[in-house]
Amino acid sequence: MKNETAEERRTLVRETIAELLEVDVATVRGDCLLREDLGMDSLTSLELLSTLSRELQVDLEMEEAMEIVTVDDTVRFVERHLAV
Amino acid sequence: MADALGASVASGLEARSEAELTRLVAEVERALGVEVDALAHDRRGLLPRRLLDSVRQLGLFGASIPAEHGGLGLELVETCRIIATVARHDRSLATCVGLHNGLGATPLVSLGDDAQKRAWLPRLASGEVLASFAATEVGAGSDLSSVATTYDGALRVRGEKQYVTNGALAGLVTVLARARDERGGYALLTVPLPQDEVSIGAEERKLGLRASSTTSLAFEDARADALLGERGGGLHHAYTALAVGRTVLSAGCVGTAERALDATLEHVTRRRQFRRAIGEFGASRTHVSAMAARLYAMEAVVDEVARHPAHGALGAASVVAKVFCSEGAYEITDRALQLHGAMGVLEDVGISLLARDCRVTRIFEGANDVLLVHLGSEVLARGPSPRCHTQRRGPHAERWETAAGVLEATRERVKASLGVRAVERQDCLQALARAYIGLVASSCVLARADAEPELAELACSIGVDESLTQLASLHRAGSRVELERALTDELYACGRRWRWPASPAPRAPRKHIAA
Ligand SMILES: Cc1cc2nc3c(=O)[nH]c(=O)nc-3n(C[C@H](O)[C@H](O)[C@H](O)COP(=O)(O)OP(=O)(O)OC[C@H]3O[C@@H](n4cnc5c(N)ncnc54)[C@H](O)[C@@H]3O)c2cc1C
Repeated sequence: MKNETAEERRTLVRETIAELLEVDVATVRGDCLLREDLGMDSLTSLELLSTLSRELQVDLEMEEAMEIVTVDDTVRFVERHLAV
Repeated sequence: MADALGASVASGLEARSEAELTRLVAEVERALGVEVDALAHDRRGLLPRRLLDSVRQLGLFGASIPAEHGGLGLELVETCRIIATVARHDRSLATCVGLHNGLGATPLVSLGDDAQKRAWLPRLASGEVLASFAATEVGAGSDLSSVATTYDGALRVRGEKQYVTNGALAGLVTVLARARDERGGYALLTVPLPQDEVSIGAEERKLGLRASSTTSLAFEDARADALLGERGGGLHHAYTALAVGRTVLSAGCVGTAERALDATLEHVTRRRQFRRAIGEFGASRTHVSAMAARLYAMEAVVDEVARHPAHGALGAASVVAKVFCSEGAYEITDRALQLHGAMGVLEDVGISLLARDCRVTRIFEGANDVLLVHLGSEVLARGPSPRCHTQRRGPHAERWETAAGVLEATRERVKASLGVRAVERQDCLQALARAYIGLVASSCVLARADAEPELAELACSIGVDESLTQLASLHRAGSRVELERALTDELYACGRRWRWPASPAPRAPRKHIAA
């Protein structure tokens, strides 16, 4: 998974969010606010990180979940963890 | 009578002190004692108009509304005392008044602009207009993010809401809806009623709270009067209002439990079997003291939570109060029912009404199962440590400290072994939440241990024991979770109706033939 391109990872994050919320992936744009636009709460954000940590086989810190505000933030967050 | 009481309520609140509040509560108690016949309201399935008029005159619909807008301007903790008093007499009435003051009025009080407040709050305060809050839909119950009701640029609301408390009585309903634009952000909107574009469904027939109005509301491009707070902030605003609503609901549970305990004390000291009052049996004493200890803890928790409704902090605290008090009221009314024997199930005695009325409190304003998962994830991710609200030392404070240490260690262990994937283990989250609730409750009790040392001792040890039991259960949770998953997968897949499972027929013992 670590070998995937940035674009593929971005798609994976968007698809994971769409699947979690049961919405059309087209509505999950990069600038979407997770809470205000997509209605995610802190528990759903943690569930998102949990799914991503499984899919991408990386350890993600749950304390950091609260700092993620947009879809793009989530992608950057995953990138940061893959880099280490 | 009610007029004079209304005046005394209003003047009594100008210089509020604990004594004033006690007097106010006593006066409300006296007025309701004369007028309220909860059993009759339950049978008829509605609250008499005359009773609602008396409540208006008492000023109770304005309890939480600021005095500058014609309300009593009570603090949350004082509103809670009033709602507990009302619930002692009639839970349906407490639900009507509590919802109006809590979820109904809160969004307008905290988010409305001056014009909105001037237009509506005085009418809400006098009770001329009753308030509702409509979030739930067919497809959006515990998961409010999936609401499908929408609004457009002209604030026209379209969609259908379910289970709206005060639905048939309300003159103003706060609706959770999504923008009909590309972003689809959430917002709270106030919709005045009646209007042709809103149809009110039939009254739901329910297990309890039968005299409280519960209806659906269908909006067909209904005109909203205002959008409260920020566009996009609707869910956040709804959660904030729910935190206030849950605190008020918890106070209602306290009132229900007080009534159940009062009735039980009277019954067990009068009813004789085996040549003595049934209250003298050891098993009855266990029931009664557990009821009293739990109730004492419930009051302590509501008092503490409602006194510190700091913005943001009420979220987790209100969940603690809601779960603890709704489960407590359920336990207490059930013990009351047991101790009443057959009389417990006779409708005219009133104990079964208490039990029926309180059951739904574990479901509405957030089903407890779901709230526990949320609270558990907070405990895990952010680690709010329960604070001990007392400097007192002694064996109870020490046991409390030990249990708090075990919670801390367990949290770290779960995080180290499961990482963020722990959020998929609802058993862990719920156990952490229950452990946390037990500790918060016993800490609130310790803080008022001077007043009732025996009650506090029992309540505190029950809370600490519950925490330790929950945390200990996690040591063997993994294999049990696997078993539960396998079993339920099988049950869901096979699609058969459950029947008494056939057990293998007992075999006849083999005869040993002597050689
Ligand atoms: C008398 C009454 C009055 C009400 N008044 C109002 C009102 O004024 N305004 C309003 O908006 N709503 C109101 N409601 C609705 C109430 O808030 C909802 O019923 C409640 O939020 C639960 O939603 P649901 O009934 O759809 O249950 P569901 O969401 O279907 O949940 C059913 C059960 O599924 C389980 N469950 C669901 N999700 C999870 C999860 N994530 N994790 C673990 N378990 C889960 C739980 O055991 C839960 O109890 C009222 C309801 C009643 C009965």
